[in-house]
Amino acid sequence: MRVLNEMGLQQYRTFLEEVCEEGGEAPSHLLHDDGFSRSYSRYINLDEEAVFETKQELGRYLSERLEEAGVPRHEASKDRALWASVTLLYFDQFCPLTPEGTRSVPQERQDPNERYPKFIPRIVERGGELSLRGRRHYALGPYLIYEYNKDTHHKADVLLSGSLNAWGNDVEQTAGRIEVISNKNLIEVIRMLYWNEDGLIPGYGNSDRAGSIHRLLADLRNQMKLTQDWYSMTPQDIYDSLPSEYDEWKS
Amino acid sequence: MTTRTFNYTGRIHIKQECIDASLTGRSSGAPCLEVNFDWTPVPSILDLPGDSMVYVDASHGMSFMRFYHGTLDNPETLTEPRLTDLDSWTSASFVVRIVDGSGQLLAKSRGHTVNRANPDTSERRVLIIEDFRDLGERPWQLEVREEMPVPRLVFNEKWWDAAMEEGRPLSTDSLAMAMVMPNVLEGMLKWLLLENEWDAYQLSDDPTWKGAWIRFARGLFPEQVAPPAHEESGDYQNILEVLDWIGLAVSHFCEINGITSSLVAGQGGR
Repeated sequence: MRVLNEMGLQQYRTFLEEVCEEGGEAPSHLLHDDGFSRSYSRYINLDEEAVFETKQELGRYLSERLEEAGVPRHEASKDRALWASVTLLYFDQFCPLTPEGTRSVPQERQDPNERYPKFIPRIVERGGELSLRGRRHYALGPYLIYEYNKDTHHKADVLLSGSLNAWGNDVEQTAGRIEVISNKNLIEVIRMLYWNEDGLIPGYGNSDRAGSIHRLLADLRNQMKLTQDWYSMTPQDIYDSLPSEYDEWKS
Repeated sequence: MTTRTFNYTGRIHIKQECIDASLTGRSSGAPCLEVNFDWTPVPSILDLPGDSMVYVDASHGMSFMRFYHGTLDNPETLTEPRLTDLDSWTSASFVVRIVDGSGQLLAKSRGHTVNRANPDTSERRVLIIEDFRDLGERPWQLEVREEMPVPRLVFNEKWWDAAMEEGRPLSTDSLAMAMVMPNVLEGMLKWLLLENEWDAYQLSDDPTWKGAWIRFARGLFPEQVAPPAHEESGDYQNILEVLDWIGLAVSHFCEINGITSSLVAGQGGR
């Protein structure tokens, strides 16, 4: 695999800013040009033709390929060029053309540091060290959620359902909280509440609705962690301890 | 104004005096988070059920690891509590929790942070981190690649260990660092500006360590002199001007830090 260098990242940003919304073709040539990219320090075998139906498929694929290449999570999760290059490699899946031939390009207009964090991870500084904000990134987010749950039977299938560019409140709420994505029991509870044989139950992500996933992961979790330790409780114990506003989701 | 805090949860606060924590590790790679407990400063902890479980939850950024330290009655000393899954191998935040069998939180500490001995404090932007491994007879080397989160100053493991045993860790040994750091600065600037031929003006705005090194170097000049800029062609007009600027930056660094004076004084003390 080849990854963008600083010049390549700048060119990618220019593409996102200037011609992407008009339906411009992704500048994948940057990944083959020594002026804009270089070989990654280890051999990561990503198939350019791979197609991912869901974010879980993408998360699994990246997790397996990186593990195969000997790239540990703590190293991969800090590499901005790597993740920007993954979105460029599969750009049409992350940012597909509309029937009108245009593209919808999500952006953070108010962010002076990174206007396109879905494509180029935003760098943040924590405790004097630089890291990446995965919650907003189309590839790093699914990779991290999958990595933390790959040994479970569900493999975060609920959170990582849907296409690569479907990025709902649930993913934002989950991927941005390490106390959520690293808690396999809580992820299982999410599955028990909001998932049935037809998939996700409509309305689960409505933050105004009682018992929504937003309420569960933000308000209720913050309150419950004062007196309970969800890491050491079974999914069923957590489920049974939820207040009455979750009753309608249990039925 | 005095602020009072009310605890309505019944949860016991684990005081800092109960916790003795450090990041240790004699070879490169993930350090171990060694934590020892002494509950006597908070006697109420000793009244908790003996089968209550003690956990240390370590985290850094978007990474997390939980370590089980046994129960209050039967504490377990972990043989290798390595922070393999943490994003950082130089610092970690952790919380201690005591939990009963039903998941009720009985006691909890505040968040604490431990750092591996290195010259960068958490208040400063990290320009380089230290590491150590077997380098044969080579005393140290600079490791820098574009994809690295932060460049590494790798010391020879034998030197590192010997210094530790003498009680004079290399990271705090001003004589050792005085010998090494001017070359590290020169090597970094040459790597950025000459080997990679990046434009210093563009790099100055870079939020990563690359930009931080350029800003650091500019700050060494009394007038914040910028390095020569690229021409429109994307090349330097004169490489010698860049070399001169790098040389001056290193001289200013040595001047500001009194490098030779430190070496002379250190020599006299040994």
